[in-house]
Amino acid sequence: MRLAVKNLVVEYNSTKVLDEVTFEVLDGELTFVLGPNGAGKTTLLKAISRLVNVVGGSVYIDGKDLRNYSPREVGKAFAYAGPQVYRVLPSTVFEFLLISRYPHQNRLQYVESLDDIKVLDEVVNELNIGGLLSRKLEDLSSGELQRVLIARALIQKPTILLLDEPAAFLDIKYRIEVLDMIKNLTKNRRLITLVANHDLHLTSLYADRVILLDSGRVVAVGGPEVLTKELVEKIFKVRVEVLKNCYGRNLILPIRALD
Amino acid sequence: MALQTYRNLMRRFTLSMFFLTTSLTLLSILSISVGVVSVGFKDVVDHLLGISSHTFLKGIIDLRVIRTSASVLAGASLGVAGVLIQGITRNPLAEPYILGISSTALSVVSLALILNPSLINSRTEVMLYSFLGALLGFLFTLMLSRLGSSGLSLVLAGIAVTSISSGISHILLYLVQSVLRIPYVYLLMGSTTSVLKADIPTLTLTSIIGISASLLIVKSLNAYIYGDEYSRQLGFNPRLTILTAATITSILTGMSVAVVGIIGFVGLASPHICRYLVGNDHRFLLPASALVGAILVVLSDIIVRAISSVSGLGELPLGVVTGIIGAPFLAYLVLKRVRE
Repeated sequence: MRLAVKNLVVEYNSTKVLDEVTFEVLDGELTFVLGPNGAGKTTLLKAISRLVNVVGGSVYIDGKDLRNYSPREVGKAFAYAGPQVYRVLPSTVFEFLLISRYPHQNRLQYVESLDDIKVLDEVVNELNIGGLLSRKLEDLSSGELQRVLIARALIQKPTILLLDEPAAFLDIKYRIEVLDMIKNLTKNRRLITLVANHDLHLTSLYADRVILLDSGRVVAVGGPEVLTKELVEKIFKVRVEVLKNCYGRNLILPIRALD
Repeated sequence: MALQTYRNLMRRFTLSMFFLTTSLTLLSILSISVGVVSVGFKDVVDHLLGISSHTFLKGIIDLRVIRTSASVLAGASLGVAGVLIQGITRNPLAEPYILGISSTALSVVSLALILNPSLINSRTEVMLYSFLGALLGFLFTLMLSRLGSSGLSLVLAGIAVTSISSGISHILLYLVQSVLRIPYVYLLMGSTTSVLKADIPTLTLTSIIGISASLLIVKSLNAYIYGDEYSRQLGFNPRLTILTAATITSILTGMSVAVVGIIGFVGLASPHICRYLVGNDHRFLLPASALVGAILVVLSDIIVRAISSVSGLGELPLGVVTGIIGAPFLAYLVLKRVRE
Protein backbone atom coordinates (compact mmCIF):
# COMPACT_ATOMS: atom_id res chain seq x y z
CA MET A 1 0.00 0.00 0.00
CA ARG A 2 1.15 3.49 -0.77
CA LEU A 3 0.24 6.83 0.76
CA ALA A 4 0.96 9.72 -1.57
CA VAL A 5 0.72 13.35 -0.54
CA LYS A 6 0.83 15.84 -3.39
CA ASN A 7 1.29 19.62 -3.16
CA LEU A 8 -0.60 19.86 0.12
CA VAL A 9 -1.29 23.46 1.21
CA VAL A 10 -2.87 24.46 4.53
CA GLU A 11 -3.50 27.99 5.71
CA TYR A 12 -4.42 29.35 9.13
CA ASN A 13 -5.75 32.91 8.87
CA SER A 14 -4.27 33.19 5.37
CA THR A 15 -0.70 32.37 6.46
CA LYS A 16 0.64 29.20 4.93
CA VAL A 17 1.47 26.56 7.55
CA LEU A 18 2.02 23.86 4.94
CA ASP A 19 3.44 24.86 1.59
CA GLU A 20 3.30 22.42 -1.33
CA VAL A 21 4.15 19.38 0.78
CA THR A 22 4.81 16.32 -1.39
CA PHE A 23 6.04 12.84 -0.42
CA GLU A 24 5.23 9.14 -0.61
CA VAL A 25 5.42 6.43 2.03
CA LEU A 26 4.92 2.66 1.93
CA ASP A 27 3.34 0.21 4.36
CA GLY A 28 5.59 -1.53 6.86
CA GLU A 29 7.75 1.57 7.12
CA LEU A 30 7.99 3.64 10.26
CA THR A 31 8.15 7.23 9.05
CA PHE A 32 9.20 10.10 11.29
CA VAL A 33 8.00 13.62 10.58
CA LEU A 34 10.79 15.68 12.05
CA GLY A 35 11.16 19.41 12.48
CA PRO A 36 11.55 22.20 15.03
CA ASN A 37 8.53 23.71 16.81
CA GLY A 38 6.13 25.37 14.41
CA ALA A 39 7.45 23.49 11.39
CA GLY A 40 3.96 22.13 10.66
CA LYS A 41 4.34 18.54 11.90
CA THR A 42 0.99 18.35 13.70
CA THR A 43 -0.77 20.21 10.90
CA LEU A 44 0.63 17.74 8.37
CA LEU A 45 -0.75 14.74 10.29
CA LYS A 46 -4.11 16.46 10.72
CA ALA A 47 -4.25 17.54 7.08
CA ILE A 48 -3.57 13.99 5.88
CA SER A 49 -6.47 12.64 7.94
CA ARG A 50 -8.68 15.63 7.01
CA LEU A 51 -8.93 16.96 10.56
CA VAL A 52 -8.00 20.40 9.24
CA ASN A 53 -9.16 21.96 6.00
CA VAL A 54 -6.83 21.72 3.07
CA VAL A 55 -6.54 24.69 0.73
CA GLY A 56 -4.77 22.88 -2.09
CA GLY A 57 -3.26 19.56 -3.08
CA SER A 58 -4.51 16.11 -2.25
CA VAL A 59 -3.83 12.80 -0.54
CA TYR A 60 -3.99 9.45 -2.32
CA ILE A 61 -4.21 5.96 -0.86
CA ASP A 62 -3.09 3.52 -3.54
CA GLY A 63 -3.93 6.11 -6.13
CA LYS A 64 -7.44 6.76 -4.82
CA ASP A 65 -8.10 10.39 -3.99
CA LEU A 66 -9.09 10.86 -0.35
CA ARG A 67 -11.75 13.37 -1.42
CA ASN A 68 -13.75 10.41 -2.73
CA TYR A 69 -13.84 8.83 0.74
CA SER A 70 -16.87 9.25 3.02
CA PRO A 71 -16.16 10.45 6.59
CA ARG A 72 -16.73 6.93 7.88
CA GLU A 73 -14.32 5.44 5.35
CA VAL A 74 -11.74 8.00 6.46
CA GLY A 75 -12.44 6.85 10.03
CA LYS A 76 -11.67 3.27 9.06
CA ALA A 77 -8.51 4.15 7.14
CA PHE A 78 -6.88 6.69 9.47
CA ALA A 79 -6.40 6.98 13.19
CA TYR A 80 -4.83 10.09 14.64
CA ALA A 81 -3.54 10.11 18.20
CA GLY A 82 -2.86 13.66 19.33
CA PRO A 83 -1.44 14.62 22.68
CA GLN A 84 -4.74 16.11 23.87
CA VAL A 85 -8.09 14.92 25.09
CA TYR A 86 -10.79 16.81 26.98
CA ARG A 87 -11.13 15.22 30.38
CA VAL A 88 -13.34 17.68 32.23
CA LEU A 89 -16.47 15.58 31.86
CA PRO A 90 -15.89 12.40 33.85
CA SER A 91 -15.23 9.26 31.81
CA THR A 92 -13.43 5.97 32.32
CA VAL A 93 -10.60 4.68 30.14
CA PHE A 94 -12.85 1.85 28.96
CA GLU A 95 -15.59 4.25 27.85
CA PHE A 96 -12.98 6.29 26.00
CA LEU A 97 -11.58 3.25 24.19
CA LEU A 98 -15.04 2.04 23.12
CA ILE A 99 -15.63 5.06 20.85
CA SER A 100 -12.86 3.86 18.52
CA ARG A 101 -15.02 1.06 17.19
CA TYR A 102 -17.76 3.40 15.93
CA PRO A 103 -16.51 3.66 12.33
CA HIS A 104 -16.74 -0.13 12.11
CA GLN A 105 -20.29 -0.28 13.44
CA ASN A 106 -23.67 0.38 11.94
CA ARG A 107 -24.70 3.96 12.70
CA LEU A 108 -27.65 2.99 14.84
CA GLN A 109 -26.07 -0.10 16.37
CA TYR A 110 -26.61 0.39 20.08
CA VAL A 111 -24.32 -2.26 21.58
CA GLU A 112 -20.84 -3.48 20.66
CA SER A 113 -20.34 -6.83 18.95
CA LEU A 114 -18.15 -9.49 20.54
CA ASP A 115 -15.64 -8.74 17.80
CA ASP A 116 -15.38 -5.10 18.87
CA ILE A 117 -14.57 -6.16 22.41
CA LYS A 118 -12.01 -8.69 21.16
CA VAL A 119 -10.14 -6.05 19.15
CA LEU A 120 -10.15 -3.80 22.20
CA ASP A 121 -8.95 -6.60 24.47
CA GLU A 122 -6.09 -7.49 22.12
CA VAL A 123 -4.74 -3.93 22.06
CA VAL A 124 -5.25 -3.50 25.81
CA ASN A 125 -3.15 -6.61 26.46
CA GLU A 126 -0.52 -5.57 23.94
CA LEU A 127 -0.07 -2.21 25.63
CA ASN A 128 -0.46 -3.66 29.09
CA ILE A 129 -3.13 -1.20 30.22
CA GLY A 130 -5.65 -3.73 31.53
CA GLY A 131 -5.30 -2.29 35.01
CA LEU A 132 -6.33 1.17 33.80
CA LEU A 133 -9.69 0.24 32.21
CA SER A 134 -11.89 1.26 35.14
CA ARG A 135 -9.84 4.33 36.04
CA LYS A 136 -11.09 7.84 35.38
CA LEU A 137 -9.40 9.52 32.43
CA GLU A 138 -8.76 12.61 34.57
CA ASP A 139 -6.87 10.58 37.20
CA LEU A 140 -4.24 9.17 34.82
CA SER A 141 -0.63 10.30 34.93
CA SER A 142 0.68 11.74 31.67
CA GLY A 143 2.60 8.54 30.92
CA GLU A 144 -0.49 6.39 31.47
CA LEU A 145 -2.60 8.77 29.39
CA GLN A 146 -0.15 8.58 26.52
CA ARG A 147 -0.40 4.80 26.37
CA VAL A 148 -4.20 5.04 26.49
CA LEU A 149 -4.19 7.54 23.61
CA ILE A 150 -2.06 5.22 21.47
CA ALA A 151 -4.28 2.28 22.41
CA ARG A 152 -7.36 4.22 21.30
CA ALA A 153 -5.85 4.85 17.89
CA LEU A 154 -4.87 1.18 17.48
CA ILE A 155 -8.35 -0.04 18.46
CA GLN A 156 -9.66 1.94 15.52
CA LYS A 157 -7.76 -0.66 13.41
CA PRO A 158 -6.51 1.85 10.87
CA THR A 159 -4.31 1.11 7.89
CA ILE A 160 -2.64 4.47 8.36
CA LEU A 161 -1.57 5.36 11.88
CA LEU A 162 -0.74 8.99 12.69
CA LEU A 163 0.95 9.56 16.04
CA ASP A 164 1.66 13.05 17.30
CA GLU A 165 4.51 13.06 19.82
CA PRO A 166 3.63 9.58 21.11
CA ALA A 167 6.60 9.40 23.47
CA ALA A 168 6.75 12.96 24.77
CA PHE A 169 5.69 12.40 28.38
CA LEU A 170 6.93 8.87 28.86
CA ASP A 171 9.93 8.04 30.97
CA ILE A 172 12.82 6.46 29.08
CA LYS A 173 11.84 2.83 29.63
CA TYR A 174 8.27 3.32 28.36
CA ARG A 175 9.50 5.56 25.56
CA ILE A 176 11.70 2.75 24.24
CA GLU A 177 8.95 0.19 24.84
CA VAL A 178 6.29 2.24 23.05
CA LEU A 179 8.51 2.99 20.05
CA ASP A 180 9.61 -0.68 19.81
CA MET A 181 5.97 -1.67 19.89
CA ILE A 182 5.01 0.86 17.22
CA LYS A 183 7.86 -0.34 15.04
CA ASN A 184 6.81 -3.99 15.40
CA LEU A 185 3.13 -3.22 14.79
CA THR A 186 4.02 -1.29 11.67
CA LYS A 187 6.06 -4.18 10.34
CA ASN A 188 3.73 -7.04 11.38
CA ARG A 189 0.42 -5.44 10.45
CA ARG A 190 1.86 -3.70 7.37
CA LEU A 191 0.70 -0.31 8.61
CA ILE A 192 1.71 3.05 7.25
CA THR A 193 2.85 4.87 10.35
CA LEU A 194 3.73 8.53 10.58
CA VAL A 195 5.20 9.78 13.84
CA ALA A 196 5.54 13.50 14.45
CA ASN A 197 8.46 14.17 16.70
CA HIS A 198 11.21 16.67 17.42
CA ASP A 199 13.64 14.38 19.17
CA LEU A 200 16.66 14.05 16.88
CA HIS A 201 18.18 11.15 18.76
CA LEU A 202 15.01 9.00 18.87
CA THR A 203 14.35 9.71 15.21
CA SER A 204 17.81 8.56 14.21
CA LEU A 205 17.36 5.47 16.37
CA TYR A 206 13.97 4.31 15.01
CA ALA A 207 13.08 5.91 11.68
CA ASP A 208 12.90 3.81 8.50
CA ARG A 209 12.07 6.99 6.66
CA VAL A 210 12.30 10.65 7.53
CA ILE A 211 10.33 13.67 6.37
CA LEU A 212 12.17 16.78 7.52
CA LEU A 213 9.97 19.87 7.73
CA ASP A 214 10.92 23.49 8.25
CA SER A 215 8.42 26.39 8.23
CA GLY A 216 5.84 24.31 6.40
CA ARG A 217 8.13 23.10 3.63
CA VAL A 218 9.68 19.68 3.07
CA VAL A 219 13.44 20.04 3.38
CA ALA A 220 14.37 16.40 2.94
CA VAL A 221 12.65 13.03 2.41
CA GLY A 222 14.29 9.63 2.48
CA GLY A 223 16.04 7.08 4.65
CA PRO A 224 17.61 8.20 7.93
CA GLU A 225 20.84 8.94 6.06
CA VAL A 226 19.27 12.18 4.73
CA LEU A 227 19.81 13.64 8.19
CA THR A 228 23.32 14.91 7.57
CA LYS A 229 25.23 16.88 10.18
CA GLU A 230 25.13 20.09 8.10
CA LEU A 231 21.39 19.91 7.39
CA VAL A 232 20.39 19.13 10.97
CA GLU A 233 22.62 21.89 12.38
CA LYS A 234 21.13 24.39 9.95
CA ILE A 235 17.49 23.52 10.63
CA PHE A 236 17.61 22.90 14.38
CA LYS A 237 20.34 25.42 15.23
CA VAL A 238 22.18 22.98 17.50
CA ARG A 239 25.66 21.54 17.24
CA VAL A 240 25.31 17.77 16.73
CA GLU A 241 27.58 14.80 16.44
CA VAL A 242 26.74 11.88 14.15
CA LEU A 243 27.98 8.53 15.41
CA LYS A 244 27.70 5.05 13.95
CA ASN A 245 26.35 2.40 16.33
CA CYS A 246 27.20 -1.31 16.20
CA TYR A 247 24.33 -2.01 13.77
CA GLY A 248 25.68 0.53 11.32
CA ARG A 249 22.98 3.13 12.04
CA ASN A 250 23.83 6.79 12.19
CA LEU A 251 22.87 8.19 15.57
CA ILE A 252 22.49 11.90 16.08
CA LEU A 253 23.62 13.33 19.38
CA PRO A 254 22.79 16.96 20.14
CA ILE A 255 25.72 18.72 21.79
CA ARG A 256 24.84 22.40 22.39
CA ALA A 257 22.74 25.23 21.01
CA LEU A 258 24.20 27.29 18.17
CA ASP A 259 23.86 31.04 17.83
CA MET B 1 -10.53 -8.48 30.91
CA ALA B 2 -12.26 -6.02 28.60
CA LEU B 3 -15.19 -8.40 28.16
CA GLN B 4 -15.65 -8.55 31.91
CA THR B 5 -15.62 -4.74 32.15
CA TYR B 6 -18.16 -4.55 29.32
CA ARG B 7 -20.45 -7.10 30.98
CA ASN B 8 -20.26 -5.22 34.26
CA LEU B 9 -21.25 -2.03 32.46
CA MET B 10 -24.26 -3.73 30.89
CA ARG B 11 -25.27 -5.36 34.15
CA ARG B 12 -25.07 -2.06 35.99
CA PHE B 13 -27.24 -0.43 33.33
CA THR B 14 -29.89 -3.18 33.36
CA LEU B 15 -30.10 -3.26 37.14
CA SER B 16 -30.27 0.54 37.40
CA MET B 17 -33.00 0.79 34.78
CA PHE B 18 -35.02 -1.88 36.56
CA PHE B 19 -34.57 -0.18 39.93
CA LEU B 20 -35.37 3.28 38.54
CA THR B 21 -38.47 2.14 36.64
CA THR B 22 -39.82 0.41 39.72
CA SER B 23 -39.16 3.46 41.89
CA LEU B 24 -40.81 5.76 39.38
CA THR B 25 -43.92 3.56 39.21
CA LEU B 26 -44.25 3.39 42.98
CA LEU B 27 -43.64 7.11 43.38
CA SER B 28 -46.23 7.92 40.71
CA ILE B 29 -48.86 5.87 42.57
CA LEU B 30 -47.83 7.59 45.80
CA SER B 31 -48.10 10.94 44.05
CA ILE B 32 -51.69 10.15 43.07
CA SER B 33 -52.58 9.13 46.60
CA VAL B 34 -51.03 12.10 48.46
CA GLY B 35 -52.80 15.43 48.91
CA VAL B 36 -55.35 17.27 50.99
CA VAL B 37 -57.65 14.28 50.53
CA SER B 38 -55.48 11.21 50.67
CA VAL B 39 -56.49 8.19 48.64
CA GLY B 40 -55.35 4.69 49.60
CA PHE B 41 -52.73 2.91 47.49
CA LYS B 42 -55.17 0.14 46.65
CA ASP B 43 -57.90 2.56 45.54
CA VAL B 44 -55.42 4.29 43.23
CA VAL B 45 -54.34 1.03 41.60
CA ASP B 46 -57.96 -0.15 41.31
CA HIS B 47 -58.96 3.08 39.60
CA LEU B 48 -56.01 3.07 37.22
CA LEU B 49 -56.78 -0.50 36.22
CA GLY B 50 -60.46 0.43 35.82
CA ILE B 51 -61.63 -2.08 38.43
CA SER B 52 -63.49 0.34 40.69
CA SER B 53 -65.33 3.54 39.75
CA HIS B 54 -66.11 5.59 42.82
CA THR B 55 -67.18 8.95 41.32
CA PHE B 56 -65.87 11.22 44.09
CA LEU B 57 -62.50 9.50 44.17
CA LYS B 58 -62.39 9.41 40.37
CA GLY B 59 -62.48 13.21 40.15
CA ILE B 60 -59.57 13.57 42.56
CA ILE B 61 -57.57 10.78 41.00
CA ASP B 62 -58.05 12.15 37.47
CA LEU B 63 -56.73 15.56 38.55
CA ARG B 64 -53.72 14.01 40.21
CA VAL B 65 -53.01 11.77 37.25
CA ILE B 66 -52.67 14.95 35.17
CA ARG B 67 -50.26 16.50 37.69
CA THR B 68 -48.25 13.34 37.98
CA SER B 69 -47.97 12.85 34.21
CA ALA B 70 -46.83 16.44 33.84
CA SER B 71 -44.17 15.90 36.53
CA VAL B 72 -42.92 12.70 34.90
CA LEU B 73 -42.72 14.26 31.43
CA ALA B 74 -41.19 17.56 32.51
CA GLY B 75 -38.71 15.74 34.76
CA ALA B 76 -37.66 13.29 32.05
CA SER B 77 -37.20 16.15 29.58
CA LEU B 78 -35.08 18.15 32.00
CA GLY B 79 -32.99 15.09 32.88
CA VAL B 80 -32.23 14.50 29.19
CA ALA B 81 -31.68 18.21 28.49
CA GLY B 82 -29.13 18.28 31.32
CA VAL B 83 -27.13 15.39 29.87
CA LEU B 84 -27.18 16.90 26.37
CA ILE B 85 -26.04 20.31 27.48
CA GLN B 86 -23.27 18.92 29.69
CA GLY B 87 -22.10 16.96 26.66
CA ILE B 88 -22.04 19.77 24.13
CA THR B 89 -20.45 22.27 26.49
CA ARG B 90 -18.08 19.52 27.78
CA ASN B 91 -18.85 20.95 31.17
CA PRO B 92 -20.18 19.00 34.15
CA LEU B 93 -21.57 22.22 35.68
CA ALA B 94 -23.89 22.96 32.77
CA GLU B 95 -27.66 22.75 33.12
CA PRO B 96 -30.62 24.48 31.36
CA TYR B 97 -31.44 26.52 34.47
CA ILE B 98 -27.86 27.49 35.35
CA LEU B 99 -27.08 28.46 31.75
CA GLY B 100 -30.02 30.87 31.67
CA ILE B 101 -31.97 28.86 29.11
CA SER B 102 -35.07 28.38 31.26
CA SER B 103 -35.37 32.00 32.30
CA THR B 104 -34.93 33.43 28.80
CA ALA B 105 -37.64 31.01 27.66
CA LEU B 106 -39.95 32.41 30.32
CA SER B 107 -39.03 36.02 29.45
CA VAL B 108 -39.96 35.50 25.82
CA VAL B 109 -43.21 33.81 26.85
CA SER B 110 -44.17 36.65 29.17
CA LEU B 111 -43.26 39.25 26.55
CA ALA B 112 -45.44 37.42 24.03
CA LEU B 113 -48.28 37.33 26.57
CA ILE B 114 -48.10 41.09 27.09
CA LEU B 115 -48.18 41.77 23.37
CA ASN B 116 -50.92 39.27 22.73
CA PRO B 117 -52.90 38.22 25.84
CA SER B 118 -55.11 35.80 23.89
CA LEU B 119 -52.03 33.61 23.47
CA ILE B 120 -52.77 32.06 26.86
CA ASN B 121 -55.51 29.99 25.21
CA SER B 122 -53.08 28.12 23.01
CA ARG B 123 -50.49 26.17 24.95
CA THR B 124 -48.87 24.99 21.73
CA GLU B 125 -48.09 28.56 20.71
CA VAL B 126 -46.78 29.31 24.20
CA MET B 127 -44.48 26.30 23.80
CA LEU B 128 -43.24 27.63 20.49
CA TYR B 129 -42.31 30.98 22.03
CA SER B 130 -40.75 29.19 24.97
CA PHE B 131 -38.63 27.10 22.59
CA LEU B 132 -37.45 30.19 20.73
CA GLY B 133 -36.60 31.85 24.04
CA ALA B 134 -34.64 28.79 25.15
CA LEU B 135 -32.63 28.73 21.93
CA LEU B 136 -31.96 32.45 22.20
CA GLY B 137 -30.82 32.08 25.81
CA PHE B 138 -28.41 29.29 24.93
CA LEU B 139 -26.84 31.28 22.09
CA PHE B 140 -26.60 34.35 24.30
CA THR B 141 -24.87 32.49 27.11
CA LEU B 142 -22.47 30.81 24.68
CA MET B 143 -21.56 34.16 23.12
CA LEU B 144 -20.98 35.78 26.49
CA SER B 145 -18.85 32.88 27.74
CA ARG B 146 -16.55 32.99 24.68
CA LEU B 147 -14.99 36.04 26.34
CA GLY B 148 -13.51 33.81 29.01
CA SER B 149 -11.96 30.43 28.42
CA SER B 150 -12.40 28.33 31.55
CA GLY B 151 -15.31 25.99 32.16
CA LEU B 152 -16.47 28.23 34.96
CA SER B 153 -16.86 31.17 32.57
CA LEU B 154 -19.82 29.39 30.98
CA VAL B 155 -21.49 29.10 34.35
CA LEU B 156 -20.76 32.74 35.21
CA ALA B 157 -22.18 33.84 31.85
CA GLY B 158 -25.22 31.70 32.58
CA ILE B 159 -25.70 33.33 35.96
CA ALA B 160 -25.54 36.76 34.32
CA VAL B 161 -28.10 35.78 31.67
CA THR B 162 -30.34 34.18 34.30
CA SER B 163 -30.26 37.27 36.51
CA ILE B 164 -31.07 39.64 33.67
CA SER B 165 -33.82 37.58 32.15
CA SER B 166 -35.42 36.48 35.41
CA GLY B 167 -35.55 40.17 36.38
CA ILE B 168 -37.23 40.93 33.10
CA SER B 169 -39.67 38.05 33.39
CA HIS B 170 -40.50 39.06 36.99
CA ILE B 171 -41.59 42.50 35.78
CA LEU B 172 -43.40 41.22 32.72
CA LEU B 173 -45.19 38.45 34.60
CA TYR B 174 -46.19 40.91 37.30
CA LEU B 175 -47.79 43.02 34.59
CA VAL B 176 -49.70 40.14 33.00
CA GLN B 177 -50.77 38.49 36.25
CA SER B 178 -54.42 39.27 35.58
CA VAL B 179 -54.28 37.43 32.27
CA LEU B 180 -52.57 34.38 33.70
CA ARG B 181 -55.03 33.84 36.56
CA ILE B 182 -52.31 31.99 38.47
CA PRO B 183 -49.72 33.41 40.88
CA TYR B 184 -46.67 34.19 38.75
CA VAL B 185 -44.35 32.74 41.36
CA TYR B 186 -45.52 29.36 40.15
CA LEU B 187 -44.20 30.04 36.66
CA LEU B 188 -40.95 31.48 37.97
CA MET B 189 -40.20 28.54 40.24
CA GLY B 190 -42.31 25.78 38.77
CA SER B 191 -45.56 24.17 39.68
CA THR B 192 -47.86 21.47 38.33
CA THR B 193 -51.07 23.01 39.75
CA SER B 194 -51.88 24.89 36.55
CA VAL B 195 -51.46 21.96 34.17
CA LEU B 196 -54.63 21.16 32.22
CA LYS B 197 -55.75 17.87 30.82
CA ALA B 198 -55.46 19.29 27.30
CA ASP B 199 -51.73 19.93 27.86
CA ILE B 200 -50.85 16.30 28.40
CA PRO B 201 -50.98 15.07 24.75
CA THR B 202 -48.73 17.93 23.51
CA LEU B 203 -46.41 17.41 26.44
CA THR B 204 -46.20 13.66 25.80
CA LEU B 205 -45.62 14.05 22.10
CA THR B 206 -42.90 16.70 22.43
CA SER B 207 -40.99 14.86 25.11
CA ILE B 208 -41.18 11.54 23.24
CA ILE B 209 -39.92 13.20 20.06
CA GLY B 210 -37.17 15.07 21.92
CA ILE B 211 -35.97 12.08 23.90
CA SER B 212 -36.02 9.69 20.92
CA ALA B 213 -34.16 12.22 18.79
CA SER B 214 -31.51 12.50 21.49
CA LEU B 215 -31.07 8.71 21.44
CA LEU B 216 -30.06 8.99 17.77
CA ILE B 217 -27.04 11.18 18.54
CA VAL B 218 -25.66 9.31 21.56
CA LYS B 219 -22.66 7.93 19.70
CA SER B 220 -21.70 11.25 18.16
CA LEU B 221 -21.94 12.78 21.65
CA ASN B 222 -19.71 10.05 23.06
CA ALA B 223 -17.04 10.94 20.51
CA TYR B 224 -17.61 14.69 20.78
CA ILE B 225 -16.94 15.06 24.51
CA TYR B 226 -13.25 14.15 24.06
CA GLY B 227 -12.62 16.88 21.48
CA ASP B 228 -13.52 17.85 17.91
CA GLU B 229 -10.63 15.75 16.58
CA TYR B 230 -12.16 12.59 17.98
CA SER B 231 -15.55 13.45 16.62
CA ARG B 232 -14.22 14.11 13.12
CA GLN B 233 -11.92 11.14 12.82
CA LEU B 234 -14.68 8.76 13.87
CA GLY B 235 -16.85 10.01 11.03
CA PHE B 236 -19.08 12.52 12.83
CA ASN B 237 -19.58 16.21 12.26
CA PRO B 238 -19.00 18.06 15.55
CA ARG B 239 -20.97 21.15 14.47
CA LEU B 240 -23.96 19.05 13.51
CA THR B 241 -23.77 17.31 16.89
CA ILE B 242 -23.82 20.64 18.76
CA LEU B 243 -26.63 22.00 16.62
CA THR B 244 -28.85 18.93 16.99
CA ALA B 245 -28.25 18.62 20.73
CA ALA B 246 -28.85 22.35 21.33
CA THR B 247 -32.11 22.23 19.39
CA ILE B 248 -33.34 19.19 21.29
CA THR B 249 -32.34 20.80 24.60
CA SER B 250 -34.23 23.96 23.69
CA ILE B 251 -37.35 22.02 22.66
CA LEU B 252 -37.35 19.97 25.86
CA THR B 253 -36.59 22.92 28.14
CA GLY B 254 -38.98 25.24 26.30
CA MET B 255 -41.78 22.74 26.53
CA SER B 256 -41.34 22.13 30.23
CA VAL B 257 -41.09 25.86 30.98
CA ALA B 258 -44.27 26.54 28.99
CA VAL B 259 -46.27 23.97 30.93
CA VAL B 260 -44.85 23.78 34.46
CA GLY B 261 -42.59 26.85 34.66
CA ILE B 262 -38.93 26.90 35.67
CA ILE B 263 -37.78 23.90 37.68
CA GLY B 264 -34.11 24.41 38.45
CA PHE B 265 -31.27 21.98 39.17
CA VAL B 266 -33.03 18.81 37.95
CA GLY B 267 -30.90 18.96 34.80
CA LEU B 268 -27.78 19.12 36.96
CA ALA B 269 -28.56 16.60 39.70
CA SER B 270 -30.05 13.94 37.47
CA PRO B 271 -27.07 13.42 35.10
CA HIS B 272 -24.65 13.28 38.01
CA ILE B 273 -26.73 10.72 39.90
CA CYS B 274 -26.77 8.67 36.68
CA ARG B 275 -23.04 9.04 36.04
CA TYR B 276 -22.61 7.41 39.42
CA LEU B 277 -25.14 4.66 38.61
CA VAL B 278 -24.45 3.72 34.96
CA GLY B 279 -21.23 5.52 33.98
CA ASN B 280 -20.71 8.20 31.37
CA ASP B 281 -21.54 6.51 28.08
CA HIS B 282 -24.43 8.55 26.65
CA ARG B 283 -26.16 5.42 25.37
CA PHE B 284 -26.78 4.47 28.98
CA LEU B 285 -26.67 7.90 30.59
CA LEU B 286 -29.55 9.40 28.58
CA PRO B 287 -32.30 6.86 29.33
CA ALA B 288 -31.23 6.63 32.97
CA SER B 289 -31.25 10.41 33.34
CA ALA B 290 -34.76 10.60 31.86
CA LEU B 291 -35.94 8.27 34.64
CA VAL B 292 -34.03 10.02 37.44
CA GLY B 293 -35.26 13.43 36.25
CA ALA B 294 -38.83 12.15 36.35
CA ILE B 295 -38.29 10.66 39.80
CA LEU B 296 -36.85 13.94 41.16
CA VAL B 297 -39.77 16.06 39.93
CA VAL B 298 -42.47 13.57 41.02
CA LEU B 299 -40.79 13.34 44.42
CA SER B 300 -40.63 17.15 44.73
CA ASP B 301 -44.29 17.40 43.74
CA ILE B 302 -45.18 14.90 46.46
CA ILE B 303 -43.16 16.84 49.04
CA VAL B 304 -44.83 20.11 48.02
CA ARG B 305 -48.31 18.64 48.50
CA ALA B 306 -47.38 16.84 51.70
CA ILE B 307 -46.14 20.11 53.20
CA SER B 308 -49.26 21.92 52.07
CA SER B 309 -51.62 19.27 53.48
CA VAL B 310 -49.82 19.30 56.83
CA SER B 311 -49.48 23.07 57.14
CA GLY B 312 -52.89 23.83 55.65
CA LEU B 313 -51.29 26.63 53.60
CA GLY B 314 -50.98 26.93 49.82
CA GLU B 315 -48.45 24.92 47.86
CA LEU B 316 -44.80 25.89 47.62
CA PRO B 317 -43.35 26.19 44.11
CA LEU B 318 -41.58 23.03 42.88
CA GLY B 319 -38.34 24.86 42.20
CA VAL B 320 -37.89 25.42 45.93
CA VAL B 321 -37.69 21.69 46.57
CA THR B 322 -35.61 20.78 43.51
CA GLY B 323 -33.28 23.62 44.44
CA ILE B 324 -32.75 22.16 47.90
CA ILE B 325 -32.09 18.73 46.35
CA GLY B 326 -29.99 19.95 43.42
CA ALA B 327 -28.00 22.95 44.57
CA PRO B 328 -25.65 20.90 46.80
CA PHE B 329 -24.54 19.07 43.62
CA LEU B 330 -23.55 22.42 42.12
CA ALA B 331 -21.73 23.42 45.29
CA TYR B 332 -19.83 20.12 45.35
CA LEU B 333 -18.88 20.30 41.67
CA VAL B 334 -17.76 23.92 41.89
CA LEU B 335 -15.65 23.21 44.96
CA LYS B 336 -14.05 20.26 43.18
CA ARG B 337 -13.23 22.42 40.14
CA VAL B 338 -11.84 25.28 42.21
CA ARG B 339 -9.60 22.93 44.16
CA GLU B 340 -8.12 21.62 40.91
